[in-house]
Amino acid sequence: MSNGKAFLNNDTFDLMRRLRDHATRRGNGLLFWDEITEIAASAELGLDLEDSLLMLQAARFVEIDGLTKANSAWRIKVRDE
Amino acid sequence: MENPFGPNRIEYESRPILWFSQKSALISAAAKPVFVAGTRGSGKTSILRSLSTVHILEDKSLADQVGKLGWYGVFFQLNETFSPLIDNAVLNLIPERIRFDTAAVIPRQFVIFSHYLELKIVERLLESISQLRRDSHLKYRASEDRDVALALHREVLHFIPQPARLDFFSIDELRGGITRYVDECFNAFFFAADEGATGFRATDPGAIINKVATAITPLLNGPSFAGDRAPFFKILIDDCEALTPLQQQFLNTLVRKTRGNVKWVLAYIGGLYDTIRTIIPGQSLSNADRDVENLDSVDPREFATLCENVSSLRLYYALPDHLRSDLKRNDALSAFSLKNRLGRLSVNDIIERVIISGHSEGREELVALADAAREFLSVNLRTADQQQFLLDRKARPYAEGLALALMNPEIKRRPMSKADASNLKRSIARKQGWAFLKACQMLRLHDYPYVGHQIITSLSDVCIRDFLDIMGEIFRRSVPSSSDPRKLVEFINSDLQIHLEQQRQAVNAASQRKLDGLQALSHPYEEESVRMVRALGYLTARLQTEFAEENALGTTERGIFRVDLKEMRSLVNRLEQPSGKLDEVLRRAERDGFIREVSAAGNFEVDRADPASKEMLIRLHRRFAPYFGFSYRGPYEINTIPAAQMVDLLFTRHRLPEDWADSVFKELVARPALKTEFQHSLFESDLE
Repeated sequence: MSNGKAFLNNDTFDLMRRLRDHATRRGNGLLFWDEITEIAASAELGLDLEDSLLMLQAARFVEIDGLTKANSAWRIKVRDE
Repeated sequence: MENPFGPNRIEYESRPILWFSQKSALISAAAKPVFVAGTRGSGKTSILRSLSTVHILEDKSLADQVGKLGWYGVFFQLNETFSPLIDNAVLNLIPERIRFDTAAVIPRQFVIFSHYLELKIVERLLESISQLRRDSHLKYRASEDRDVALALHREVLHFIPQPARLDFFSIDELRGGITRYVDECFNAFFFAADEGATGFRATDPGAIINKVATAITPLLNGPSFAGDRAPFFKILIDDCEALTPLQQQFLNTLVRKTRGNVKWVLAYIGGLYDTIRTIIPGQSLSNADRDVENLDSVDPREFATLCENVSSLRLYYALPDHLRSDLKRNDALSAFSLKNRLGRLSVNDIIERVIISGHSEGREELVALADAAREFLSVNLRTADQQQFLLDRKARPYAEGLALALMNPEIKRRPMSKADASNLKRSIARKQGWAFLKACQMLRLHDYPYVGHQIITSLSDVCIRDFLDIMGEIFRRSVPSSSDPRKLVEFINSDLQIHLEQQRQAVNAASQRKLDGLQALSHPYEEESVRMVRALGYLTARLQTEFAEENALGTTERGIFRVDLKEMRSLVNRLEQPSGKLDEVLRRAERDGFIREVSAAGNFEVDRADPASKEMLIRLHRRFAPYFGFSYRGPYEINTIPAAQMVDLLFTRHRLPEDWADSVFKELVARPALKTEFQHSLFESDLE
């Protein structure tokens, strides 16, 4: 789990913007963990994805289902603006 | 180092090694439902698992063998608790006033049975889909996951309680809902006094599976799937013989009612499943509705290939990864050459080896017979025909010598034509099994050398579990358990024949172990089963070795016994013994692989749907051959066991099995009418 080093910075917000764009394009905002990793990889963001998502959840930008399970079982809902 | 050939029951293996056989490929491509029949240990579970998508994608070696998937397989194993459980539940759901009205009860039982079975299958299907998505084998999106789950809930599984949050609903959550629903229904069946409180909601049989399959199909894409057309759903159900006869008809009805891309594959022990009847009036299952694959009737060559591939796979994966590069043939299926290691030995080769290595009394007599045969054949046959008899082999033609010595002069006349020569060869070939026994007798061997690739695969009696048992014994003798894994590399790489004495000891030990296994079964009828196997074992050995000399033609290879069930049942009733005991003893012995039920032509019986049948033809499993000293081939001739003798063996038990065999033997010899009914040889084409 998180090592506590993450914080909300430009990269985290960049990730969030991309997630929102993706959700708007697709017409829905529910994603599996590996769909998020693909989006993050294409943007070459230098961040710890798990920590960043936890920060985004803390800030109520996203909601994570299955948080007690392994990453591969997470489902992430991107909240509307 | 663990023995790579054990454990041989797939259920006990932590990482079973599966081979995607030709049979599996055939079933995977079948457009019809397939019923897979086979005796215990014939590889039914392996075939079903090798078709299950989860098993394939979790096992790299299997996935490599299969290639792209054109189907989605869900494996489901029925167990012995399923039938009584569901029958019990049904009792609670049927109103008391109609409980004794069969016409009203059966359709209700069917609805409850199918509702339960369909939900259990769907539960397994949804579980496997979620698992494969998590492991990235399937690529559907989270939004599709939610939408499909919602659609299924709305249209099919609406009796499952409404999910707490629709936006996070998922296939996994739907699966959890099914599990809870089934559990709650069951609790209510057993404990609720009020019938209305069960929560049970009946559905039209087949509807759940059909609709779920349709809804799930769009999710089935990923790197492992063929993708050119919608994959079939293969519902793979193992151990169907655990169902009661009525439940078997229910399952057949369900097979009949599910169409489209849902294809059932049902596996069961041959003879213990009704492959025909449904509960729909006037409708039964025919070949147009399903294929029946009988694993017991596999061609001996196909079985030999299976044995070789399974041995190679097991040895390959028993080897630590870093040692695999030391293999001469670094390929899982061909690393080990079973044929070379056990040796391609004819009966003559084996006798020759025994003769060279010892000084027994019958040696000169056998050599003289073989020399006479060589002379007879080379003088009387045209050169072109001599090639058929392989006279140029190093080993002397002992089997030919023994067979020719038995023949009466008019048969033994000079073969004039090519056809005559072929006939002579065939009648000699049919006596191979007998010649082997006779030669061992003449050489006064205590334990007969059932060795070599051909004999060992034949003793396994198309049962891969028996083959693995024998190989396990051979391996244990060849590679000490404490040794360095490099010894395993040597064992696999070598092309030298394993010492025949080691093979002989291993085969005898395995034969003995099978009988011990029967004695150890903790079942009330074990005693009768052991008596029957022993008695038939002694009788088979005597019939095959002593009878043949009196009536040389067509009398070798006895050992199929006709049991007149009708007469036996009436005798048993008169003795006031429990009448079901007889069927139970025979059924159990067959199910556990100690006896084989065969048809009049010697093939395994798979379609015996009638439990009230009047007679039964049985023979012993061939792995008992070394223990009792009967032939490793055949048998193909029928002797009728007098009903009174059978009753005496199993019920009154006045004599020891040996004495019983002796008295039946004398009776069969003395009463020509009972002696024999000639059957065509099954082995004419099965030459060396």
